[in-house]
Amino acid sequence: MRARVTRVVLDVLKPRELDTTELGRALCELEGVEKVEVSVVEVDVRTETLKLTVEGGSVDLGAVQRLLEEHGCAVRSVDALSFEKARPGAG
Amino acid sequence: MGLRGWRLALRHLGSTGFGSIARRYFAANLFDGVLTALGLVLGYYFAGGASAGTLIATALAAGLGLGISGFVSSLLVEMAERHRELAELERVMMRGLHGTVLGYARKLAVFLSALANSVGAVVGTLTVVAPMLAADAVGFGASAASAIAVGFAELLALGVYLARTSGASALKYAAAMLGAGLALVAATLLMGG
Repeated sequence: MRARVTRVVLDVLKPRELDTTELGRALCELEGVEKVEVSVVEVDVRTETLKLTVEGGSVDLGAVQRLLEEHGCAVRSVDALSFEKARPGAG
Repeated sequence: MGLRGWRLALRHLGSTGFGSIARRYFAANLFDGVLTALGLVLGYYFAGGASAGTLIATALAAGLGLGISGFVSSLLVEMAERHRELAELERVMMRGLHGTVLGYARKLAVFLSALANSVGAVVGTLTVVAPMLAADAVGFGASAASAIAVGFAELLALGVYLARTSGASALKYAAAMLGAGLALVAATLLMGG
């Protein structure tokens, strides 16, 4: 029985030009994601450092990282992960 | 990413600063288009011309010329500027950004800004000469006078619009725009109109 990832906290460098709201929306549209929290940790002239918290029934960490990379962000580190044991009969 | 990339880029268009650049380009080239068409109408009328068809065809060619010039020049200027900015951003981000949603959004912003520039010129030119289409019904002189009136009304409206966007005095901007139009009339008359 494989445990599901239910929460991921990422340290992300984002170009300021990239709309944070739309980035959050795109993350929310990923399968298995139910909630996204974005905190701006640091603001520079051209970039912002974000603390991204992605929660859901089954978060695909690879898909989250791919989406961030294809938007032009740089994932600096995965700071926290939460797992839940998959219940029998549940997806 | 292909089509998906362009679709995602559309969502980020607003944050690329595209809106204000496109507005500036549109207003600047609308002004160019209006003044060019006004010059054509005034020059043609004072030179004794009386063919509405010739005037419309000339204005259409001038408008298209301005439009193509506006599109190509702003495309090249914006591409060069955005390329430099992207290279700087890539250095800060320590990664390539070509082919990303941000890269697509920037390309889209460049293209749409150039289009706004081009459309401004064509709209400016064609709206001024539009009354010439009624020359057969109302006479060449009356339609030329209408075209000149439309040109001045557009200059006035552009002045008020620029004043509203900048929060400055509408009177000052409108006077500057009308002044440019009147200077054109004076220059045309001095050249033997």
